Amino acid sequence: MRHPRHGAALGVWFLLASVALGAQSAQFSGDVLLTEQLTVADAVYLVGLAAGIVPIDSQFDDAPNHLTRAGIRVPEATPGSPISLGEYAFLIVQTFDLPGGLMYSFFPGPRYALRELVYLDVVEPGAHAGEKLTGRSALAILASAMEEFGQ
Amino acid sequence: MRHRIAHRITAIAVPLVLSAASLLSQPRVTLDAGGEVAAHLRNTDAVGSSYLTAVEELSLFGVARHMPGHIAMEYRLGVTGRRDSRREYAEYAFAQNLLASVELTAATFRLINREFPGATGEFSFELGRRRFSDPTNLIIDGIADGASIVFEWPSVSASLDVAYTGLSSKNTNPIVLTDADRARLDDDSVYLAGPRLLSVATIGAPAIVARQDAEFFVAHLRDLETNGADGAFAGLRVDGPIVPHLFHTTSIAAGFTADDGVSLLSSFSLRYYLDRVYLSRFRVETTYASGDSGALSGFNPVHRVRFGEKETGFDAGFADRLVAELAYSFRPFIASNASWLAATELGFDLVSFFRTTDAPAPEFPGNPTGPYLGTRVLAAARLRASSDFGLDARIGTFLRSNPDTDDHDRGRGFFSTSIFVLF
Repeated sequence: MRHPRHGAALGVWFLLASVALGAQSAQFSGDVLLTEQLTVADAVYLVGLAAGIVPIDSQFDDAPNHLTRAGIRVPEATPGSPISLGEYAFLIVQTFDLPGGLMYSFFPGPRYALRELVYLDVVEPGAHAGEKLTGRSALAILASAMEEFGQ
Repeated sequence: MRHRIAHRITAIAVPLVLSAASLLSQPRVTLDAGGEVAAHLRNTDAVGSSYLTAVEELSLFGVARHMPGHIAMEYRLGVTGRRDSRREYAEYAFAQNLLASVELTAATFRLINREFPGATGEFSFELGRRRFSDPTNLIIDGIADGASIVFEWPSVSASLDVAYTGLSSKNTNPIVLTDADRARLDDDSVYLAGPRLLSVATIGAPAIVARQDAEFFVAHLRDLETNGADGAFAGLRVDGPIVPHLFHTTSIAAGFTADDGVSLLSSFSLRYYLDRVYLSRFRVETTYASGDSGALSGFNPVHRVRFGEKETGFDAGFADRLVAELAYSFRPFIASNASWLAATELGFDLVSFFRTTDAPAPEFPGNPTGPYLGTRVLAAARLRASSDFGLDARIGTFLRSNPDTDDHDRGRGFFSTSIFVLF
């Protein structure tokens, strides 16, 4: 069961995508919405774009470099491989510079990043770090994070 | 004999390790391993009843689900309040036997392949100690050691769990079905639970119609200690949205034993999510378990997490019960900029017990004579200082069906606090 607030959050995302990010990015987010399994490359571009780290006119393949230069650890897997929910949560926690809990401060990584997002009501309780991520869920989580953390 | 066992273990372990190693070489496979240690506190007061135990659920009243804690540790220290209305005194005691109550409640190795079988499939294999449960969470719901295999596709899923209970603590989620179980609970020198083999197989269909998820299951209990105490269960759970923000879970199940015949269980719950009013969650739930009457026998689940001693302060039974529950929880400071304050949750829970046959219910305070047996009321608060650390407090009482009876000792209130730290 999806969290009811995600529907509204998704609407916020599309508003932001179409107005603030431009037509090309809105097209990308539209494509992502239909993806059954988000890839590492999709996630890096999506989160970087939303946080303003990746410029709108940047090439899709350059997104990891922008994030790395900003001090964000991107998943080491090949860009085309599917990203897990935990890895996606870790990207978001770093990108939005969330403090994380006690365990996250010692061991920053997908496990405790996901716990933090559950605590902050961005991800539903019961989620598992190894879960695969659909495009729709990824957009909803990102939109909810943007709504919560004001970026 | 030893050689034969070693050979069998090798024959199972080697292919497993090789399979795992070959799967691990693929980038789409992830591994997750971790665990949880929990301290289960049990306070025994002057009259011998206990009503303070640690509860693993990190949510109020089951409205929210467990946090995705992987390496988690809970230490719960508590105080128990007692008020005797006749003598007008209050008594508080710290929970005891902290070390003896500590148990490893989860330690699992999990392997997930997100592109098998087929591009849209997902396969997971989990080995170790964790909570095993059936889809209703009413029949089997306890800590055990075992393995799970799950296959998932967009339109169907299948799973098989096999678990052994004899290596876990007898106190965490006790199985009390036979005289041997009762003797074990009373014997302080025994730490482990009775040896049983639990199996649960499910076939699920997500969003089968009108966004309703359906899951059919069969479960089997094999008692390795007492002959003739085996049992089997079969059932169906359907859950999903009814209208926006309103969700239901409907479960029916039948139990089969060699001696007692067929028994029935049904449960229906409605959950309403009102996010704009302080993240309010309402839940109304009814649970029916057949008693010995006519062609039906009493429904006895394997574990008794719901309406057991932890929830009421005494053994409220399960067979021959109709239970109605109303729960509400909310976050009064959700708009606060401070995360810990925004995460603070308050809840109220009211559970009324009825019996479905004329069989006596001597365990209930007040010697009830009619179908209504009494109501447990409870208020709870949860403070989450961070995602790793928090504090719980609960206060409640059991309202007897007949308040005029001279049975004050079992109709008292209770109060408990606990601290939890997740790792």
